[in-house]
Amino acid sequence: MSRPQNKMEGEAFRTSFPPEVEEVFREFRTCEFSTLTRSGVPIAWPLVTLWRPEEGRFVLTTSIGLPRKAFNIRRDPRVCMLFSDPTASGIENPPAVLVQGDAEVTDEIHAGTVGVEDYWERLYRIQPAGKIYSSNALLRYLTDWYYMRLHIFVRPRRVLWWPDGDFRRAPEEVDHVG
Amino acid sequence: MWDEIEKYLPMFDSAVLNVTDPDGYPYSIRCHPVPDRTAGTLRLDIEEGAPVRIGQASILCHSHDQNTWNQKIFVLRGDLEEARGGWAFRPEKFVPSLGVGGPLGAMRAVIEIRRNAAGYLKRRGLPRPRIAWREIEAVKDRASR
Repeated sequence: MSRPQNKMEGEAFRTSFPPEVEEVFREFRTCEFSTLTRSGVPIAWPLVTLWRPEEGRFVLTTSIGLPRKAFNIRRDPRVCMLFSDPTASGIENPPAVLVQGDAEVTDEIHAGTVGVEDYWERLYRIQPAGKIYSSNALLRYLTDWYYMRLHIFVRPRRVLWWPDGDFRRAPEEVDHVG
Repeated sequence: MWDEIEKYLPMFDSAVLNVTDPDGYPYSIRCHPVPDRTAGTLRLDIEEGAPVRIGQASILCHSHDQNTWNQKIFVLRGDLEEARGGWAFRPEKFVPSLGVGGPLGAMRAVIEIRRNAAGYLKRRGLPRPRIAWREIEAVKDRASR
Protein backbone atom coordinates (compact mmCIF):
# COMPACT_ATOMS: atom_id res chain seq x y z
CA MET A 1 0.00 0.00 0.00
CA SER A 2 1.35 3.44 -0.78
CA ARG A 3 0.46 6.70 0.81
CA PRO A 4 0.21 10.07 -0.91
CA GLN A 5 2.75 12.73 -0.04
CA ASN A 6 1.70 15.34 2.48
CA LYS A 7 0.10 18.47 1.13
CA MET A 8 2.16 21.62 1.15
CA GLU A 9 1.62 23.91 4.11
CA GLY A 10 -1.36 26.16 3.51
CA GLU A 11 -2.82 24.13 0.68
CA ALA A 12 -6.52 23.52 1.13
CA PHE A 13 -7.62 20.18 2.51
CA ARG A 14 -10.01 18.59 0.07
CA THR A 15 -10.61 15.06 1.26
CA SER A 16 -14.27 14.31 1.61
CA PHE A 17 -15.03 11.81 4.33
CA PRO A 18 -18.23 9.78 4.46
CA PRO A 19 -20.67 11.59 6.78
CA GLU A 20 -20.71 8.69 9.25
CA VAL A 21 -16.92 8.90 9.52
CA GLU A 22 -16.96 12.66 10.17
CA GLU A 23 -19.67 12.11 12.75
CA VAL A 24 -17.37 9.72 14.59
CA PHE A 25 -14.58 12.33 14.53
CA ARG A 26 -16.98 14.88 16.03
CA GLU A 27 -18.83 12.79 18.58
CA PHE A 28 -16.53 10.09 19.96
CA ARG A 29 -15.12 11.16 23.30
CA THR A 30 -11.70 9.58 22.93
CA CYS A 31 -9.54 7.84 20.41
CA GLU A 32 -6.81 5.27 21.01
CA PHE A 33 -3.71 7.21 20.00
CA SER A 34 -0.62 5.16 19.07
CA THR A 35 2.95 6.32 18.76
CA LEU A 36 6.12 4.32 18.17
CA THR A 37 8.61 3.85 20.99
CA ARG A 38 12.37 3.97 20.51
CA SER A 39 12.33 0.21 19.89
CA GLY A 40 9.49 0.54 17.38
CA VAL A 41 6.67 -0.83 19.52
CA PRO A 42 3.32 0.91 18.98
CA ILE A 43 1.86 1.98 22.32
CA ALA A 44 -1.65 3.43 22.55
CA TRP A 45 -3.28 5.63 25.16
CA PRO A 46 -6.79 7.08 25.10
CA LEU A 47 -6.83 10.79 24.26
CA VAL A 48 -9.43 13.44 23.62
CA THR A 49 -9.08 14.86 20.13
CA LEU A 50 -10.57 17.67 18.08
CA TRP A 51 -11.03 17.35 14.30
CA ARG A 52 -10.51 20.61 12.39
CA PRO A 53 -11.93 19.87 8.93
CA GLU A 54 -10.95 23.29 7.59
CA GLU A 55 -7.30 22.49 8.36
CA GLY A 56 -7.52 18.81 7.56
CA ARG A 57 -5.90 17.83 10.82
CA PHE A 58 -6.62 16.68 14.34
CA VAL A 59 -5.64 18.57 17.48
CA LEU A 60 -4.49 16.68 20.56
CA THR A 61 -2.49 17.73 23.58
CA THR A 62 -0.40 16.10 26.27
CA SER A 63 0.87 17.36 29.59
CA ILE A 64 4.63 17.65 30.03
CA GLY A 65 4.05 15.29 32.94
CA LEU A 66 3.14 12.62 30.38
CA PRO A 67 5.65 13.46 27.67
CA ARG A 68 6.56 10.06 26.21
CA LYS A 69 4.15 10.25 23.29
CA ALA A 70 5.68 13.63 22.39
CA PHE A 71 9.20 12.18 22.57
CA ASN A 72 8.07 9.33 20.34
CA ILE A 73 6.58 11.72 17.75
CA ARG A 74 9.76 13.82 17.67
CA ARG A 75 11.71 10.67 16.88
CA ASP A 76 9.14 9.14 14.48
CA PRO A 77 6.03 11.08 13.38
CA ARG A 78 4.08 8.03 12.25
CA VAL A 79 0.98 7.61 14.42
CA CYS A 80 -2.50 6.17 14.30
CA MET A 81 -5.79 7.00 15.96
CA LEU A 82 -8.48 4.37 16.36
CA PHE A 83 -12.00 5.58 17.12
CA SER A 84 -13.58 2.44 18.49
CA ASP A 85 -15.22 3.31 21.81
CA PRO A 86 -18.62 4.91 21.16
CA THR A 87 -19.45 5.44 24.86
CA ALA A 88 -21.37 8.72 25.30
CA SER A 89 -21.22 9.55 21.59
CA GLY A 90 -24.98 9.24 21.20
CA ILE A 91 -24.54 7.50 17.85
CA GLU A 92 -26.36 4.24 17.21
CA ASN A 93 -24.26 1.54 15.55
CA PRO A 94 -21.40 3.84 14.62
CA PRO A 95 -18.54 2.66 12.50
CA ALA A 96 -15.07 2.26 13.96
CA VAL A 97 -12.48 4.42 12.21
CA LEU A 98 -8.71 4.10 11.96
CA VAL A 99 -6.70 7.17 10.99
CA GLN A 100 -3.04 6.65 10.15
CA GLY A 101 -1.10 9.84 9.77
CA ASP A 102 1.86 12.04 10.50
CA ALA A 103 2.08 14.03 13.70
CA GLU A 104 3.84 17.21 14.69
CA VAL A 105 4.40 18.27 18.27
CA THR A 106 5.20 21.78 19.46
CA ASP A 107 8.41 22.59 21.32
CA GLU A 108 6.66 25.42 23.12
CA ILE A 109 4.97 24.57 26.41
CA HIS A 110 1.49 26.06 26.41
CA ALA A 111 0.16 27.10 29.80
CA GLY A 112 -3.13 28.50 28.55
CA THR A 113 -5.69 28.02 25.82
CA VAL A 114 -4.45 30.38 23.07
CA GLY A 115 -4.67 28.75 19.65
CA VAL A 116 -6.58 25.73 20.94
CA GLU A 117 -9.57 27.35 22.63
CA ASP A 118 -11.84 25.07 20.63
CA TYR A 119 -10.00 22.01 21.97
CA TRP A 120 -10.31 23.13 25.61
CA GLU A 121 -13.94 24.04 25.15
CA ARG A 122 -14.66 20.57 23.78
CA LEU A 123 -12.67 19.00 26.62
CA TYR A 124 -14.70 20.81 29.27
CA ARG A 125 -17.99 20.06 27.51
CA ILE A 126 -17.39 16.33 27.31
CA GLN A 127 -15.54 16.06 30.65
CA PRO A 128 -17.24 18.62 32.93
CA ALA A 129 -15.72 17.15 36.10
CA GLY A 130 -12.29 18.16 34.78
CA LYS A 131 -13.15 21.72 35.79
CA ILE A 132 -12.32 20.76 39.36
CA TYR A 133 -8.56 20.91 38.76
CA SER A 134 -8.59 24.70 38.69
CA SER A 135 -11.38 25.22 41.20
CA ASN A 136 -9.28 26.37 44.20
CA ALA A 137 -5.75 27.43 45.10
CA LEU A 138 -4.68 24.09 46.54
CA LEU A 139 -5.83 22.09 43.52
CA ARG A 140 -4.25 24.65 41.20
CA TYR A 141 -0.95 24.15 43.02
CA LEU A 142 -1.20 20.35 42.97
CA THR A 143 -2.33 20.01 39.35
CA ASP A 144 -0.65 22.89 37.54
CA TRP A 145 1.18 20.29 35.42
CA TYR A 146 -2.21 19.40 33.89
CA TYR A 147 -2.25 22.77 32.12
CA MET A 148 1.37 22.66 30.90
CA ARG A 149 0.72 21.16 27.52
CA LEU A 150 2.42 20.31 24.28
CA HIS A 151 0.20 20.61 21.23
CA ILE A 152 0.04 17.71 18.80
CA PHE A 153 -1.35 17.95 15.26
CA VAL A 154 -2.09 14.90 13.17
CA ARG A 155 -2.58 15.03 9.42
CA PRO A 156 -4.35 11.92 8.09
CA ARG A 157 -2.60 9.85 5.40
CA ARG A 158 -4.89 6.85 5.32
CA VAL A 159 -8.37 6.29 6.77
CA LEU A 160 -10.02 2.88 7.17
CA TRP A 161 -13.45 2.24 8.62
CA TRP A 162 -15.48 -0.71 9.75
CA PRO A 163 -19.25 -0.21 9.26
CA ASP A 164 -21.19 -0.89 12.47
CA GLY A 165 -17.83 -1.20 14.28
CA ASP A 166 -17.63 -4.82 13.10
CA PHE A 167 -13.95 -5.77 13.14
CA ARG A 168 -14.70 -9.27 11.82
CA ARG A 169 -15.21 -7.71 8.38
CA ALA A 170 -12.51 -6.22 6.19
CA PRO A 171 -12.45 -2.42 6.53
CA GLU A 172 -13.44 0.07 3.85
CA GLU A 173 -10.92 2.72 2.86
CA VAL A 174 -11.52 6.42 2.23
CA ASP A 175 -10.11 7.44 -1.16
CA HIS A 176 -7.58 10.20 -1.71
CA VAL A 177 -6.84 11.10 1.88
CA GLY A 178 -4.43 13.97 2.42
CA MET B 1 1.72 -9.67 36.11
CA TRP B 2 -0.76 -12.50 35.46
CA ASP B 3 -2.59 -11.78 38.72
CA GLU B 4 -3.16 -8.23 37.49
CA ILE B 5 -4.21 -9.36 34.02
CA GLU B 6 -6.74 -11.79 35.47
CA LYS B 7 -8.01 -9.16 37.89
CA TYR B 8 -8.41 -6.25 35.49
CA LEU B 9 -8.99 -7.70 32.00
CA PRO B 10 -12.54 -8.91 32.83
CA MET B 11 -13.48 -5.27 33.53
CA PHE B 12 -13.39 -4.62 29.78
CA ASP B 13 -15.60 -5.96 26.98
CA SER B 14 -12.80 -5.72 24.47
CA ALA B 15 -9.29 -4.36 24.00
CA VAL B 16 -7.23 -2.57 21.37
CA LEU B 17 -4.32 -4.43 19.79
CA ASN B 18 -1.56 -2.20 18.44
CA VAL B 19 0.87 -3.42 15.80
CA THR B 20 2.86 -1.88 12.94
CA ASP B 21 1.72 -2.33 9.35
CA PRO B 22 4.07 -3.14 6.43
CA ASP B 23 4.75 0.61 5.93
CA GLY B 24 5.85 0.94 9.54
CA TYR B 25 2.80 2.92 10.66
CA PRO B 26 1.01 1.95 13.85
CA TYR B 27 -2.18 0.02 13.17
CA SER B 28 -4.82 -0.62 15.82
CA ILE B 29 -7.74 -2.98 15.87
CA ARG B 30 -10.30 -4.05 18.49
CA CYS B 31 -10.32 -7.64 19.64
CA HIS B 32 -11.46 -9.83 22.52
CA PRO B 33 -8.42 -11.26 24.35
CA VAL B 34 -8.94 -14.53 26.20
CA PRO B 35 -6.25 -15.19 28.80
CA ASP B 36 -4.56 -18.58 28.93
CA ARG B 37 -2.25 -18.39 31.92
CA THR B 38 -0.92 -21.89 31.37
CA ALA B 39 0.24 -20.99 27.87
CA GLY B 40 1.33 -17.53 29.05
CA THR B 41 -0.67 -15.84 26.29
CA LEU B 42 -3.91 -14.07 25.45
CA ARG B 43 -5.73 -15.61 22.50
CA LEU B 44 -6.98 -13.02 20.03
CA ASP B 45 -9.79 -12.93 17.47
CA ILE B 46 -8.41 -10.92 14.57
CA GLU B 47 -10.06 -10.68 11.17
CA GLU B 48 -8.30 -12.42 8.34
CA GLY B 49 -6.46 -9.88 6.23
CA ALA B 50 -5.54 -7.53 9.06
CA PRO B 51 -1.89 -6.48 8.65
CA VAL B 52 -0.67 -8.26 11.78
CA ARG B 53 2.63 -10.10 11.94
CA ILE B 54 4.83 -11.81 14.48
CA GLY B 55 6.71 -9.34 16.66
CA GLN B 56 6.44 -6.63 19.27
CA ALA B 57 2.98 -5.28 19.97
CA SER B 58 0.86 -3.86 22.76
CA ILE B 59 -2.67 -4.03 24.06
CA LEU B 60 -4.68 -1.14 25.52
CA CYS B 61 -7.73 -1.62 27.72
CA HIS B 62 -9.68 1.52 28.61
CA SER B 63 -13.13 2.72 29.51
CA HIS B 64 -14.87 5.90 30.65
CA ASP B 65 -18.37 6.88 31.68
CA GLN B 66 -20.92 9.17 29.97
CA ASN B 67 -18.97 12.22 31.19
CA THR B 68 -15.57 10.92 30.09
CA TRP B 69 -14.81 10.42 33.77
CA ASN B 70 -14.12 7.38 35.98
CA GLN B 71 -11.57 6.22 33.48
CA LYS B 72 -9.92 2.83 33.76
CA ILE B 73 -6.80 2.24 31.74
CA PHE B 74 -4.00 -0.27 31.48
CA VAL B 75 -1.51 -1.31 28.81
CA LEU B 76 0.22 -4.60 28.15
CA ARG B 77 3.52 -4.72 26.29
CA GLY B 78 4.64 -7.96 24.71
CA ASP B 79 4.82 -9.99 21.51
CA LEU B 80 2.33 -11.17 18.95
CA GLU B 81 2.74 -14.78 17.85
CA GLU B 82 0.92 -17.35 15.77
CA ALA B 83 -1.05 -19.93 17.69
CA ARG B 84 -3.09 -22.80 16.34
CA GLY B 85 -3.98 -21.08 13.11
CA GLY B 86 -4.79 -17.84 14.87
CA TRP B 87 -2.99 -15.19 16.87
CA ALA B 88 -1.91 -14.87 20.49
CA PHE B 89 -0.31 -12.09 22.50
CA ARG B 90 2.44 -12.96 24.98
CA PRO B 91 2.49 -10.18 27.60
CA GLU B 92 5.79 -9.11 29.13
CA LYS B 93 4.83 -6.03 31.09
CA PHE B 94 1.66 -4.74 32.75
CA VAL B 95 1.49 -0.92 32.78
CA PRO B 96 -1.27 0.38 35.09
CA SER B 97 -2.81 3.83 34.64
CA LEU B 98 -5.96 5.66 35.75
CA GLY B 99 -8.47 3.66 37.77
CA VAL B 100 -6.23 0.62 38.06
CA GLY B 101 -4.22 0.06 41.22
CA GLY B 102 -6.53 1.69 43.78
CA PRO B 103 -6.06 5.01 45.65
CA LEU B 104 -2.41 4.24 46.36
CA GLY B 105 -1.81 3.66 42.67
CA ALA B 106 -3.52 6.96 41.83
CA MET B 107 -1.37 8.83 44.36
CA ARG B 108 1.78 7.23 42.98
CA ALA B 109 0.72 8.20 39.45
CA VAL B 110 0.19 11.86 40.39
CA ILE B 111 3.57 12.02 42.16
CA GLU B 112 5.24 10.50 39.11
CA ILE B 113 3.51 12.92 36.72
CA ARG B 114 4.56 15.91 38.86
CA ARG B 115 8.12 14.58 38.90
CA ASN B 116 8.06 14.07 35.11
CA ALA B 117 6.86 17.64 34.58
CA ALA B 118 9.59 19.04 36.85
CA GLY B 119 12.19 16.91 35.05
CA TYR B 120 10.97 18.07 31.64
CA LEU B 121 11.48 21.71 32.65
CA LYS B 122 14.78 21.12 34.43
CA ARG B 123 16.40 19.30 31.49
CA ARG B 124 15.59 22.29 29.28
CA GLY B 125 16.55 24.92 31.84
CA LEU B 126 13.03 26.33 31.81
CA PRO B 127 11.23 28.04 34.69
CA ARG B 128 7.88 26.64 35.80
CA PRO B 129 5.33 28.29 33.46
CA ARG B 130 2.69 30.57 34.95
CA ILE B 131 -0.69 29.10 34.14
CA ALA B 132 -3.05 31.49 32.34
CA TRP B 133 -5.89 30.92 34.79
CA ARG B 134 -8.05 33.67 33.28
CA GLU B 135 -7.99 31.96 29.89
CA ILE B 136 -8.79 28.65 31.51
CA GLU B 137 -11.70 30.13 33.47
CA ALA B 138 -13.07 31.90 30.37
CA VAL B 139 -13.14 28.64 28.42
CA LYS B 140 -14.72 26.84 31.37
CA ASP B 141 -17.47 29.48 31.43
CA ARG B 142 -18.12 29.13 27.72
CA ALA B 143 -18.27 25.35 28.00
CA SER B 144 -20.83 25.64 30.81
CA ARG B 145 -23.29 27.71 28.77
